[in-house]
Amino acid sequence: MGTKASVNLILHAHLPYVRHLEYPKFLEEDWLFESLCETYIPLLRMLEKLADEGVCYRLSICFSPTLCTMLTDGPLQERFLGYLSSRIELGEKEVERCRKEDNGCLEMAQRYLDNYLSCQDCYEANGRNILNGFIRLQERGIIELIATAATHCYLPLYKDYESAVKAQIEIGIKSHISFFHSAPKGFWLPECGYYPGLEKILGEYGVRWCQIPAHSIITARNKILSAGYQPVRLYDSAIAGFPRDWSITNLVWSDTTGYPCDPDYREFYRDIGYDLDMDYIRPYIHEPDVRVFTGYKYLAITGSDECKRLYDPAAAAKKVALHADNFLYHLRRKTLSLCAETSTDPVLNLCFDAELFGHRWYEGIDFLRLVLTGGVREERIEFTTPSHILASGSALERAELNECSWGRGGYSDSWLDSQNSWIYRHIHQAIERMEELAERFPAQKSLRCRFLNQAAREVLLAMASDWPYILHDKTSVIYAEKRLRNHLGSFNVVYANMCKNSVHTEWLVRAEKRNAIFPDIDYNLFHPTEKEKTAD
Amino acid sequence: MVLIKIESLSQKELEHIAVQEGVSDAASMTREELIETLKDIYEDERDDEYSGGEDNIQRRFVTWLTDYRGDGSEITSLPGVEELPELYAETSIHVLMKNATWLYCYWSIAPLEAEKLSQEHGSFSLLLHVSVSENGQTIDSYDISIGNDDVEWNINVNSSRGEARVDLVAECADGKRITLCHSRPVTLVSCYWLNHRDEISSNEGLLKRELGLLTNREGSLLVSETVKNIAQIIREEGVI
Repeated sequence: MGTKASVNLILHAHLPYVRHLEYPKFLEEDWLFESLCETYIPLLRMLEKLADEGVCYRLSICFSPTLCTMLTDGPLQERFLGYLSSRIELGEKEVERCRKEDNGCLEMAQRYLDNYLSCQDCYEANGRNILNGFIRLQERGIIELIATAATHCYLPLYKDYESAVKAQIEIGIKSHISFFHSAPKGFWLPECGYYPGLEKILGEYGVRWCQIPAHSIITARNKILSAGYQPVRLYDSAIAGFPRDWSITNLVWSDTTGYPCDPDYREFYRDIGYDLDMDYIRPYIHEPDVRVFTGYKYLAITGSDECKRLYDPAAAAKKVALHADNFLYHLRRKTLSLCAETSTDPVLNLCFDAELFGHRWYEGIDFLRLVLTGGVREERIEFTTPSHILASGSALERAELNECSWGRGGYSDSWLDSQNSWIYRHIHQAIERMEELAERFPAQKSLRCRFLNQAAREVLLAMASDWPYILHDKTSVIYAEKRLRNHLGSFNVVYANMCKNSVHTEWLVRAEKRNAIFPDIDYNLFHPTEKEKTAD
Repeated sequence: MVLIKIESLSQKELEHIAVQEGVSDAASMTREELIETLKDIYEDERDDEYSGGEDNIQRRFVTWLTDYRGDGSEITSLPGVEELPELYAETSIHVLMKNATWLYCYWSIAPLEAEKLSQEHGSFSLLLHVSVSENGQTIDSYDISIGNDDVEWNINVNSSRGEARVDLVAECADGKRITLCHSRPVTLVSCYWLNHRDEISSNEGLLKRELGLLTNREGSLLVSETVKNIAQIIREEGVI
């Protein structure tokens, strides 16, 4: 009979590479700034505070290479400070307005203003690079930082192109080492996308574990006796797969029944950027008069109609405490049930997008704090990390998984539907041509090397899972399509020129400036191996 | 199930899909009637998806996507960047696994090759030849007629084991079939429980634990066709 559950809380922080320095302000850069103010910085401060208070917890966090690049990019750091100043200025005006109007929003206006001010302090205290704070937490043995694919590529749809998959993994890991100064043991599979054979490639790069989708166990090609409550060995590799527990995750994750839907919580979509007079809000939105979120939101979810009541922070605080208790209750109940049924201590894996906490779910950071502190008091639950579990050296059951993901339906439907399937013809073609270039022009020097390296960057950026997902989800379709066409069109500039044995220097200089990512990239990564060529 | 370009499907394939969707008189329906009927079915599915029905339980919060309100004109291209071509001048076919029962394939034929084919054999029509094999043995194969202007197709596969390969074939006026290109094999989803139904009843505890990973507090299962099929068998066996 088991006695205690190991709980792996795994947060995944990712944003696509959006950097448009050619404009003084660019709307999509707000994705980064909002996530910094509302998730990454508050998360760091909360985790540091818990650690300083001696709360004994562990969790794993993945920061994607595209996000790390933006977080450490000088011009974007400057722009973020400008964004903060603008939000602080608006906050001061809001405090004054709310006081004058006595509209019941003063407490929240002051709270938002205080948050922006403390974000500014924390940001400067970390040398404008918040990754430094997370590195310190790793050095203290509290968090495990893990890697992911270079541009968060959904790998199953590229399995015929091993060179491209290897490039995504190798650059992802090298970027991680460069940003965090340590080799990762864990690898976040973008969108939980797995296909048989991927574990071999991960193994070549020293990876020890990855997360896998919840349904991959019951739908596996073999019978798995641990039923998803222990890590499994993927085929004959040494890679451990940690199955995500959908039943527990869904308590938070579901956008219809999850905790964040509670009527007492703050309404994400009602923001003064949309609700106040244009003349008042104009300096804080985008030109020309494009209303955007400002971060100042005063209403509670209330219900599904237009009529919302004022947000009550005290009511929300009570609710988040209840939800954290309820979450721990479900963990405890599941643990008791599994311990009674099996002889081993279960392992429960909870994987979330980090930006849900704080940004989308305003009370989410408090929820995490309460769960982690409450977890310490639980006798039958221990928050830990996959690497700690693997360190015990227990033998793992072999699992033969099918291709799978955490997307709707469990396979590739979200990244391959009627809206986005057209992209693969072009991206696959670009990969084939990139392989051809690497084969025809190996070990180039100087300008030609830079030209080919930039071509490799454009291919990798086109492979990001974000573009097909945006096309699928119909959110920022024009932007995603433009980005894709630009990356692929840019790649074609290199291909056409290299076929003529020339270099388009004007393009190169501007492309390097625009897409300044992966400084140490080596286009030779795309050289197809002998084995791949034989497979053709 | 997501269907791309329903209008481009052949009568035969439309009938096949309609039968699968439970349309009893599919064989006697015209092409237009089949398209209308299937569109209605899929519209209903889509409505369910967005109305908080069972499918919706798996939708997650998309946290960073705010609606883009520009027209794209501000995202300028770099010098020398041209529009992408519709197709590439090469003969090839690629198959991707969409889910456990559908494959997506796209192809192109080099203009010179098409011209040569016409010169040597006169008119020709195209078809996709799908073959499913296991350990070198073909276990299923069939043809799908396609139009000469088609460049992509969704293929339904019913096998729960083996690997599928798709050939792009030209069927010439003289009856000759010429394989223009073939895809790489795609490993199909093979599920232990679906292939070992006889073991279901003796593994109640294990299946209960496995389903426990996928069931939310309202008692709904994670949305997956394969999981649904396993749950159906479990119910039929009267196990849980």
